[in-house]
Order: sequence, then C-alpha cells, then structure tokens
Amino acid sequence: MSARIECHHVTKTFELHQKETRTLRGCEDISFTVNPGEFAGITGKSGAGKSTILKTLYRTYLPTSGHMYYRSNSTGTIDLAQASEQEILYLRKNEIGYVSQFLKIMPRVTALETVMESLLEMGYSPGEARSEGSAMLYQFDLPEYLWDTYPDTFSGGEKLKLNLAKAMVKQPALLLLDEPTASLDEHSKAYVKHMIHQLKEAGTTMIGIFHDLTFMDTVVDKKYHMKEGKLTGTEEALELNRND
Amino acid sequence: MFDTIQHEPVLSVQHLSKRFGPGCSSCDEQKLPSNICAACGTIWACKDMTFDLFQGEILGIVGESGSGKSTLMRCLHFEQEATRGAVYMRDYDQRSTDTLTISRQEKQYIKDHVLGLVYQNPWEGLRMDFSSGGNIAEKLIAADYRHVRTIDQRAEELLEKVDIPIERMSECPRYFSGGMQQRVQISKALANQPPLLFLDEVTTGLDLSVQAKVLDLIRMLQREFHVSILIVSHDLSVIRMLADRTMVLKDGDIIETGLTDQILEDPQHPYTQLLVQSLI
Amino acid sequence: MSPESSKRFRVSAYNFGFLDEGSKREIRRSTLKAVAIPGYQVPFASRELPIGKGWGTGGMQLSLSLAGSRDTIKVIDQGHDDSVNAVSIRHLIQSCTQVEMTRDSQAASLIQSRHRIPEIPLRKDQILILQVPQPDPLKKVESHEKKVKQLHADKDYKGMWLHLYEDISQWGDISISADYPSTAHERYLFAPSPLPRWDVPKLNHSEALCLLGAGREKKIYAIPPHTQVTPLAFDDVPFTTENFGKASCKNCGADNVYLDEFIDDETGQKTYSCSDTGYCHQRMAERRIQ
Repeated sequence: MSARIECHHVTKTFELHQKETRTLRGCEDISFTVNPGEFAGITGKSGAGKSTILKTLYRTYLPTSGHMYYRSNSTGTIDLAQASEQEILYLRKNEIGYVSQFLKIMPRVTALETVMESLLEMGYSPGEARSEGSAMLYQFDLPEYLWDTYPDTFSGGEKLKLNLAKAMVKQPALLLLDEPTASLDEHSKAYVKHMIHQLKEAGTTMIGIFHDLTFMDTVVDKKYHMKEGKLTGTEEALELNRND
Repeated sequence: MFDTIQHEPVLSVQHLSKRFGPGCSSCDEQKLPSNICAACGTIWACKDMTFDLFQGEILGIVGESGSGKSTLMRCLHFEQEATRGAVYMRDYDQRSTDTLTISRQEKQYIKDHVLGLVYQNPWEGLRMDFSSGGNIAEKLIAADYRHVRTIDQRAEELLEKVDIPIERMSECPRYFSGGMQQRVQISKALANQPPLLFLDEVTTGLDLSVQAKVLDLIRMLQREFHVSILIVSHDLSVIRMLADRTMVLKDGDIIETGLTDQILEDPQHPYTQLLVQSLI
Repeated sequence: MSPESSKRFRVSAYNFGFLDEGSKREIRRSTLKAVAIPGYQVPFASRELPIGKGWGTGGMQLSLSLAGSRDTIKVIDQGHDDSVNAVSIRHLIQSCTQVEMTRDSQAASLIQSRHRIPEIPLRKDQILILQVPQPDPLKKVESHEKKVKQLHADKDYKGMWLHLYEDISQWGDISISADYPSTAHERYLFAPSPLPRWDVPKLNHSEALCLLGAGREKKIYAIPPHTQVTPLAFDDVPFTTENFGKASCKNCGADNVYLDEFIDDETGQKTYSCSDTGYCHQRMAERRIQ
C-alpha cells in the first residue's frame, strides 16, 4: 500500500440508550484514499458528519463498520478500525496528530509545557523538548510573555495557535485538522499555511475540515464534499495548487 | 523512552472474583443480574474481571460506590483475598507465577518492592506519629535500603518534589493539612520507585485547589518515573485528566473498557452513557 | 510441730526441682522446640513459683526443668553472684535440688543469669539460661500481640528498622543500650534479654546453648550453639559495643571487660570495677597466688 490512509466503507452510527434506544447517523459508507504529503479537505454543512470522520480516524469514536488502513512509519499497515488501544495510544503519541477547533489542554500546564509534553511523550529529553518547543511557539508568533502562562486565559486565536503548535511539533505522519483556522487573523493564517506546506514537504498527510473555503483552496490537493453523512463528490485540486 | 508499542502487560488480571458471603449453587456470579445473590445474600464485589495494565500507562477505573473499585484494588494489593482468578506481574517472576497463590512472605515482597498504594484516607497509608521523613524511610527500608544517608537524601528529594518544606521533614503528618498528608503519602508510595502504583480515590474529600495540586503531582511523577498507574475514582474529571484508558465498573462487572476520550465521547454501554451525561 | 519449723521450707514436701515431673516435661518440650527454631518464641504454660512473676521465673523454670543431680549451677544477677536476687534464686534452686552451686563460671554446667553473659567464653558443655522481662522486640513498635505474631511470620521487621532509623535521625546514633534487637540465622528477630550491647556478639556462633525464658510473658526461645546472631544495623551506622576508653577495674585491673561505673558522692571521682564479679574474684585470687 503506497497511500498513507485508505478508508473502505467506514460507517459510524451512535446508539443512544435513553428511555428508548435511538440510533443516530454519524457517517456512512465513507471510502477515500490520501497519499503521503497529500492534503484532503472536507467540506459540508454542519451536521453533515465531517468531524465524525476525523474522530473515527482518531478512534475517539469507535467505527461501527468498515476499515481504515493506515501505513505507519514504524509498524507497517494497520487497520485503525481494528487496532488495539495500545497501538492507537502509540500512534497518537508518535505519528497521528489531531487538532480540534476546541482547545483541550491540561489545566495548570503552561503554553510551553503543553508543547514540550508532546515531545516528551515521544521520548525527547527535557532539554530538547524545551528548545524545539520554544522554536515552535516562536514560529507561530505566540508572544513570549505568554509562554509561561496558563492557556485558559488565551484568546481564541492564541489557543488555536498553541493547539496547532502542539500537534505540528511532532511532525506527525498523519494530521487531522478540525477547523484549524476558525478564529485566526490573516497574519496567523498565513503562518498556518506556511506550516502546512512545510509539513507536506516533509511527507505529512493531512485531512482537514474547513469553513474558510478560500483558505482551504490554497492548501489542499483534493476536496471531498459531505452531505447527510455521505461523501457526495470529489474534486482533485492539484491543478489549482500547482499554479500557486 | 517508550518508542515501541506495549504488548507485554506490567499487570495482568484474569477472571478475578471476590465474594463476601458463603456463596451457593445458585449464585454463579456470571449470571447474577446485580452483585447480590437473591438466594444466599452473598455479595459478589468483583465478578470475573479481566484486564491488562501496560508499561507507563495510566488506567482509570470509574464506577459508583459499591461497583467493586476499591475491592479490586485491595485484592490486587493482597489486603483482601480474591475468591477466584489469577494476577500476574511483570516484575514478579516475569509473569509466570499467579501472585494470588504465593506465600504471604512473597506477597509482602511484592508489596514492598513492586507496588505502591495510595489510599483515599492518609491515615491508612501513613504512620501519623512518625516524622514525614520517617514515613518515607519506612517504604525505603521495606525495599531493603540499609544506608541511613541514602535514605535521608532520598526522603529530602521526594518531599521537595511534592512541595513539603525540608524544615517540616521531621514533623509528624498528624499535624499536616489533608492535601499535605496526601502528598506525603504519594511520595512514600513512590519512594523506592515501584513499577506499579495504585491510587484509590486520592483526591476525594480534598478542596478543589488542593485536588488540583495532587493531580498535577501525579502527572509529573508519572512522566518522571514512567510508573504504570491504576487509578480508581468516581470522579470522571479526574479520570479525564489523567487516564490513557478507562474501565467502567458496575455491580462488580467491567462493563466497558476503552481509550478515555472514546469512553467520554462515544460511550457504548447504557450505564456509561448515563455516567457521561451526568458529567456535563 | 514447733511454730518455727512450720515456717520453714520443707524440701521433702516438694518434687526434685520444685516443679512436678509433668510440668518439667512440658517446659523441656517447649525448650526443644525453641532449639529447633532459633529465635522463635515458643509459648509455654508458665508455672507458679514461690517468687513473683517478673522476678526471673522464666529463667528459674528453665533451670529447674533442666537441672539434674550431677549439675553444677551458677546464678548471676547483673554480673553479681551475691545480690539479693541471685542469693534468693540460688537458695531456692539448691534447697529443692541439692545440686552443687558455684560462683566459678567455668565450673558451672548451668548458668542462670540476668542481664549479663560471663566474660570467659562458654563451652559447648555449658548451658546459659537468661531471664527475660520482654521477649518480643516488636512490642516496641506494635502493641497488638496478634499483629506482632503476623509480623514475625511474614518476617516483616521494617517497623523495627524504622524505629532504629528514627533513633538515628533524632539522636545521631542508636540509643538502645540493652536488649539490642538481633536476628537469629537471618530469620527471627529476637530480644537478647536485656543484655548490654557488650554481650550481644558473644551470642554469635557461641559454643554454648543459650536459652531465654520469660515467665510473665510465658515464652521460651533459644540461641543454639553456632547460631548466627546479627544485631540490626545500617550500612553506614554499624552496631557498636560500649566503649570504656582506657578505664580498667579498680580491683583486678582488667580492661577488656564490661565495667560498672561508680561515682564518689563527695569527690565526684569516677571509678570502675568488673561487672562480672565471679571473673573479678578469680583474677584477684590468681594474682594473690602469684
């Protein structure tokens, strides 16, 4: 398998056991392939199931059926739908990143520590983690006086930058981005774009959800559209980017 | 550095059951609708529990009181005798001997060298009338440290790490606040760097700000010592903050196990869904 | 019968060795068990004696159960042959056994002692019987009998180690002067009677059998010949015995012995003499001969 990720007929439904059992649709029969260094964008109305795909790939959601073949740098091809929790934890630490539109970080951990932690869990020494982490925050243009403060006081944009820094510093093989530019100013967006191109060159595969279609068109190689849980169309955006 | 996928469990629990009461022919624990046998009144606190704990991971155990969390932990710490089942530890005989079947002396060896347990109530884990330094020394002595200066240095190091001022090292934990006692207890449990740490409701009953400090400490120690942790809590937010994986207990059964974020965002079992809904 | 004779102890009314044969057998059986498990406290049915419990009845029962008509017995109290206790015990043993009594430790086959071991090393044909007030060293750290037994069974002696550690933390050294906790053959922790530290090494690989009896606590334990006796000690705070510096006995001049210290009330001057009076007398007698 030369693709980084191959989804075959992935379906996710939710069974809610309340007074009576209700079944909710997440996404249905999703199949797509993304190659190393490729960026696939997903568009669609809210509730169409875009985030469900990302969370299922990340295994925050347990897929109901289907296969999600991922080509790992260290363990070969593995079906994320069947992988053990230990394997998923390993991949999350070392190869697969996830950036959500909401910042989920530990309370009472400073911005720099947050980024450092990403590297420490990969086995970096504290010294290395500190220098690499600082460099990352510097690149993201996060004011230095914020590095040693707790991110819960940050603005939406600052939080998002931190979130991206935390995921990108790992140079993951697969990066899942859920609205990575939602509250960023133009300057930061330009930087995110720059980072995305850099990661792509390094071989990182990305799958992203965007509302900002203009921005999306500047980074993605292909686009998928979703409607009511299903992929309805594919558009190779390679032409577009080649002219960039 | 754990740059490999963990396949070898540090702790492997297999079909562990704990019964309080005589048991009878009709209470085959697997088939009981709850954890009490209607025929003989026997309580099955743990029913056929099977799970693994891997190197460097934090496994959360949640459930309401009476779900069997604490009994499980006490069985693993040999304070209660499991009725059935087997428990294997990597750091005892390379998991080739069921530790539930070994002699009391051997179990004591495991408690002194392989395990650390932090109780909800510091009075259970500390000698309140011995100095804080002495309390840490106790665990070190149990783990065969026989050099006074080494013990002193280690105790100082640990207390410093958990933010107990050195000048209070010679004071008895009896006169400390609840949060400080808990910090001393944690440093005692970790004194000899055991590979396995059991935490039983360690933040329950503490003030919120103190709770936070204790949680920070656990996280810091986990990263520094790479200890594998089993943490029991009825508080999902504690589990969310600390655990890589989570196990949900109800009436002595493990009803669901999964990655913590999956348990919280995509719970499968009706009871887990109820539990998670109550969180927010 | 005259009033005076009725007060007298009538030897003929009692069995040889005061105790009845059944009692002596039971004590000897417990003693054998104690010998078989060095340092382990064997419970026994402590008998009533015409002295109060806590006054050496454990040692007495051992002596009386073991004494035979061919034995020669020496009784010591804190090194003295002639203190009130030593004299009373000697008198009782002699009057109900008629065995020969001696002050010479080398002439004795049985030596009953409180707090001391004679200075001259004992031989394999001798038995040392020590009176013990508190046989269990763990009572210092755990008051519940049941828990103490469990601790022994588990060989869980960290409480005692911790006690020593706290001692060192507080005083810079271990402050225990007598009854220094030691292990027999690296297994059972035992209380070496209230012997001074000076005498503890004498138990290690001793030629003689040492029996310890606690009458009030109803326990017998033993350090059989050639048992390894190890005082608990940290690697960097070793076990040490009392140091008398350059002092020597004012009577016999001995300097490598356990000394008693005397302070003159008026001059404040310190003088020393042998604690083992039998040894001291012997040395003085030898000198006179020379």
